[in-house]
Amino acid sequence: MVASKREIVKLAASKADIKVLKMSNDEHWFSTVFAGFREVYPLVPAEAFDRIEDLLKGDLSERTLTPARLKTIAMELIEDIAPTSPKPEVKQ
Amino acid sequence: MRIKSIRLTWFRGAADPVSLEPDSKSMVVYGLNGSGKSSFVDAVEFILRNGKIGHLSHEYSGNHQIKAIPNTHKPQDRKTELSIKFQDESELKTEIKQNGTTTSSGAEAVAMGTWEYRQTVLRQDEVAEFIGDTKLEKYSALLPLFGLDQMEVAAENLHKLTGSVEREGNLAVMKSKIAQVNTKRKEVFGIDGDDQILQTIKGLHKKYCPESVTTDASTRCKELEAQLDLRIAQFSEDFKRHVVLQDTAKLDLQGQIDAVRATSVDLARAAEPLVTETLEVLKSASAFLTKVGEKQDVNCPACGRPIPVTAFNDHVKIELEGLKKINDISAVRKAAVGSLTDTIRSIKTNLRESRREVVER
Repeated sequence: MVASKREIVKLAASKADIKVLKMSNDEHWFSTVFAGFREVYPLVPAEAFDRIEDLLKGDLSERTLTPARLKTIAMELIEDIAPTSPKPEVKQ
Repeated sequence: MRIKSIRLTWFRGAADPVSLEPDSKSMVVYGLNGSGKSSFVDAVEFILRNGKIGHLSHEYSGNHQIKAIPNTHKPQDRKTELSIKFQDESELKTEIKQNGTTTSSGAEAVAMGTWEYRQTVLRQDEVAEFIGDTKLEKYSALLPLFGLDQMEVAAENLHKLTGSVEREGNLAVMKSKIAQVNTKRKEVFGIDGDDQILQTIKGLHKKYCPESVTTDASTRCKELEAQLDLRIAQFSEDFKRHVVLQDTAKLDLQGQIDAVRATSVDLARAAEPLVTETLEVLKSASAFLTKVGEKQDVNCPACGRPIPVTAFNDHVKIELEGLKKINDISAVRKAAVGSLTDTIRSIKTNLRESRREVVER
């Protein structure tokens, strides 16, 4: 009996201990993948993950960015990870 | 939606009605030059690109292109038409009139004008170009076919962003500092884990700063440092010299130099065969190029594409010079390590004597 493509993928995934993720839509895919990242890298602040996730859903996937724009994003990410100024306190 | 059949009448190379029936499947068409293969691809492109056919733009500009669509042998009383039938039995019919205008009807639901050109047709010159492409170029050409070009753009941006973060965050320097801190930590605390180190700091803090109530490890370290500086400042000059000499004499300089020397030897053992082998290959390449002569092309060993012999020869020369430089640097490094070892030995001997003098005094 010839196995279907889906069965082969499932079998390969089980052998390699890979989680098969059904890509129902981009939003779901990004959320799931980033939830995994957040778990694996607990020291990276949520702000940095939020920024990259938003960028991947937009600018980063749509066009080749200029060095100046990439530098700005890099600076923002560094500020997210290691802020040089204290974060403003949120008023209750 | 898929194409069931294409029917051409006096369109480009086609004369009397001629049909191609992909029957809703992907199709490869081959045949002799002039047999009319491209006319079907032209018909599809004509619809996809709103009356334009890419390869005709070299011969006809703007609106004049439409003059190249009807077959040049078309009798006056015949029409130039194309018809495309789809999987759902809808049919798109287009007539190209003598004055260059077109009329179309049917298959509005299919909206073929919105189809992705690259996912619909692939011409023979494009296939030939693809075969000659490098692996990376093939990869880049295939991604849009699967609708994954966004991923390629994202991957390229992310790759460059990684470089930007490394530069702006001064990561190379930071990594080097962390490596230094880790080495120092090992020297001072051995293989102790974080909890054990914190306990050690706590114990030392309690001993030297008994009145302090702080519990923060960083503050404890600062207080300890201040307290130790204060104590050292109270030492006599002779005792300070004695302590400095004692600490210096304890350093395992010889051991560290031996380690550098051992790694140098290992590096030489690993690099030497590689350099020798590469030199052999480059010499053979140089001999081969002399035989080939300057007018021919050779296939680049890296990308597999034909390149001029002169370009390859220049590359070989640069590689040879690079290897010679590596050999020279290796010899200089060996001499420098030997000289450093002698100096350290001399310093150690002097230190032992100075220490003995201080102790005797």
